[in-house]
Amino acid sequence: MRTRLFVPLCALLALIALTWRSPTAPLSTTVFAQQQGGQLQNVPGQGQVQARMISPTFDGPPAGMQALPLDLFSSKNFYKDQKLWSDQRYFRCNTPRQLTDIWTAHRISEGSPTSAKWGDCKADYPRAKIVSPYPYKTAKEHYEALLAAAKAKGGPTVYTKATTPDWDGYYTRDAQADHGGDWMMGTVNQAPTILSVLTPEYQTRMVQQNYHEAVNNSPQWNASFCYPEGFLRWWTQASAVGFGVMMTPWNVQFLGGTADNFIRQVLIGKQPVQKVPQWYGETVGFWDGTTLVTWTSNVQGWTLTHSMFDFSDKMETVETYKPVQDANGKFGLDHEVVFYDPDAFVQPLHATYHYVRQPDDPNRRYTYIECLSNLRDTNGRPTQTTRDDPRYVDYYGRPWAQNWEKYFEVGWDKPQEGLPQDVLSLFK
Amino acid sequence: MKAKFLVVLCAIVALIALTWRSPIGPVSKAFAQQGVQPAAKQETTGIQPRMVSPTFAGPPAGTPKLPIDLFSSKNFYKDRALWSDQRYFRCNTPRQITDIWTSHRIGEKPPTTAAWGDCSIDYPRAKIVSPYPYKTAREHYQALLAAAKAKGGPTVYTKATLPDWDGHYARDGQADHGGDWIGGAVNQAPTILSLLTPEYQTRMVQGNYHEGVNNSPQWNASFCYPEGYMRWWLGGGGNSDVMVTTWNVQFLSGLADNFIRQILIGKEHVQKVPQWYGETVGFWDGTTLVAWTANVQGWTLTHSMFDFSDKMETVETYKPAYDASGKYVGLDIEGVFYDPDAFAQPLHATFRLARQADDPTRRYTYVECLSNLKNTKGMPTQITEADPRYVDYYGRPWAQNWEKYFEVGWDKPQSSGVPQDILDSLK
Repeated sequence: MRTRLFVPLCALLALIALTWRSPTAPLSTTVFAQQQGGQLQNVPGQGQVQARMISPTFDGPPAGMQALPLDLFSSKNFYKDQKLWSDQRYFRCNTPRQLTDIWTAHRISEGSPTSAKWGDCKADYPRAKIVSPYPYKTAKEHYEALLAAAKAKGGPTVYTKATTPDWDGYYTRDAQADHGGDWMMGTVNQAPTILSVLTPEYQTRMVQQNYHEAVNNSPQWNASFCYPEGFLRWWTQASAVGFGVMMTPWNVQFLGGTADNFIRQVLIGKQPVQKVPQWYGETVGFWDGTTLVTWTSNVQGWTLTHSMFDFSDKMETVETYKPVQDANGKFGLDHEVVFYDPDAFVQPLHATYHYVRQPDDPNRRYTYIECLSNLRDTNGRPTQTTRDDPRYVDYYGRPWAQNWEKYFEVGWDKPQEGLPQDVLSLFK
Repeated sequence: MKAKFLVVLCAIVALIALTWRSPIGPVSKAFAQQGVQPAAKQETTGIQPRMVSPTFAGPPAGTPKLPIDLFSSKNFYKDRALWSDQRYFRCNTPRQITDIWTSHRIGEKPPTTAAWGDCSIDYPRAKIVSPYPYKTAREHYQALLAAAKAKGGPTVYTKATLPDWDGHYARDGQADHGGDWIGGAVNQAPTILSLLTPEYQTRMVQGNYHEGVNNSPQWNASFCYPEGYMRWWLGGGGNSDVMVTTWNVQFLSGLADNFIRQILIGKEHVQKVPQWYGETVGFWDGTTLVAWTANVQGWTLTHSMFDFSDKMETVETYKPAYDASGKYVGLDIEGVFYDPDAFAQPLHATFRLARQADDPTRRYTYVECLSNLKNTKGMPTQITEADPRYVDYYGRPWAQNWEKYFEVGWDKPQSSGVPQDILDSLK
């Protein structure tokens, strides 16, 4: 009897395990065109907002598509809605970025999460282009394969000071030339497509973000609080706004930043050795002709924020940087990255970017960033604090001295500034 | 009558201005502490020598204490006339004052039982002030540039000919002590005070008092405030990675924060707002790198030393150093500090960075400051989870915030991975 029960039970377990592994299957294939019924809204106050935030906005789903009876915005507990996470309608077809921006873009009304607008149900970026096209299961395997291929050709290439490729300079991302990394910004995908590349635990974490940013208006961008930006942010804003490259035979350095300083150093010919996770990982690499191949490991797990996903401390990347010259003779770098994170991703992911070297500008400087924030969570929401708040820090007003004067100099006589009193008294 | 009165008044004002400009003259005569028994305890276990303080129960024999000093004063502002007397600080160096509590030199009935330092030690003021005739950094830099041009320079290097300075460096504390004074460990406090303008003297004594008497050290890194430019000259520039390119010579180092200093070759200052580590331009004069840093954000050195203003500028030279056999061993660095708001005259420091042997396992560790030290009633306190200001940085603090405020009472999924109905079926 027990044996008979055991077999179907195992089958049931297997079946559940198979579906559990990816409860959010690839995005449902039926896309409902938002024709007729859904009117494109002119959202007030968006005249000056960057293109990524000007969201195609609709009052409802496309004609012929039914809204779900329960969705992110009407849910009282998103955890219970796991079966719906794979349906774009659950998110009202909003991209992750739209979810993050739904309040600042005025696409939701205060006190009424169910008033949230819809995104464009047709807009998506193929999952097939997000996942890695390579057969490698781990970064180590991938890197070693590339290294073996270089060795087979007599490499790796060894450069001297004199022969190091001429890559020094400042670069910006050319978003027109290559869209292969746009998905990292969360702007081009339906939320379920991103969820479909995550493991269950990390899907839960992402939907948690979606919910609390979009429904509760509690965005928790780490830089707001001067928490670290984290490794993956390099592939969103940090490298988008521009970075400097310095080339030496032993170290290729990338330096950039928006809310924090990103310093990524590729140590040529080295092996990973660090024992604890690093905020930007530990990167080693080699030259295969003029292509720089890198492997980053020992990464501190963190989150991408902006309604995207967390990543674990098993995150590793294999990257290539290839020099290119466009038709106008402008020098740039084609960058490909493969992300490996068996805790967070159901399979390795993939992104590509094109960076253009900027003309030499004698006025261009890297501005070292110190994060000085007076944003604090108050009742769960980031709030700009003022002097009245005990958590406020007057950073440029000698805060150390303000602390001393507040607690230890109350009632003290202090010297006049400028001329001594006895001199001033002469003029009375 | 009026004219005579005005003349006398002007003379008085001039006299006061002259004394006011530097009320702290050079340090008063040191009294040898002979015949005074040292206090019982000194911290020796595992602490760097700078913190092992010569400690005495009192002043040297034959030297009377002051009737009032830093540790008995109820208002240091009123004691200005005493700031130039090392006895006011009980002959403690600034560093000793900062460490007086942690090194257990404050005694059983603080603050009046604070121990004395060694009244005979000091580093000459003459060695701290700049030996050069220049009044401003611009003047200094342009003089060096003119000298280079007179020899056909500045030197322009190509990738192939760049000096071979790349590598990892550590400060060689034995080779050169010319910058030790910045650490506040080798001077009597009045000697440092004598370098400062009145306002900055006041700020420094304020730091001495509240660190030494109130036990309220405010090291910026404790709170993840910026370290500030001058900290590079203290210890931030100690273990440095140096990368040399034709356009940029970079020093990367860090203790509690990342110090990134880039010397942009052949450039001019252009930044419009002060920068935490300033804006540095430079040129090569043969194998010497000459640099000028301006546009510095005013801040403080902390550790009972001085503040500096946003008029701070430095002129620096980096010269290769060689051993007796001609082998390159490191860089001899000289910095001249110009800050007319903070300093009575330009100051001067030198130190050596010694290049370390190549180590394939050496890495620069990028620093992210994550602190749970907060001022509580004016004193830095290590807070715990019980404190609402506590941040569990490695525990997904963003999620903890959401769960605390928006998920109270929610049913949540099991974290085991197996659905609850499956778990139930096995009961």
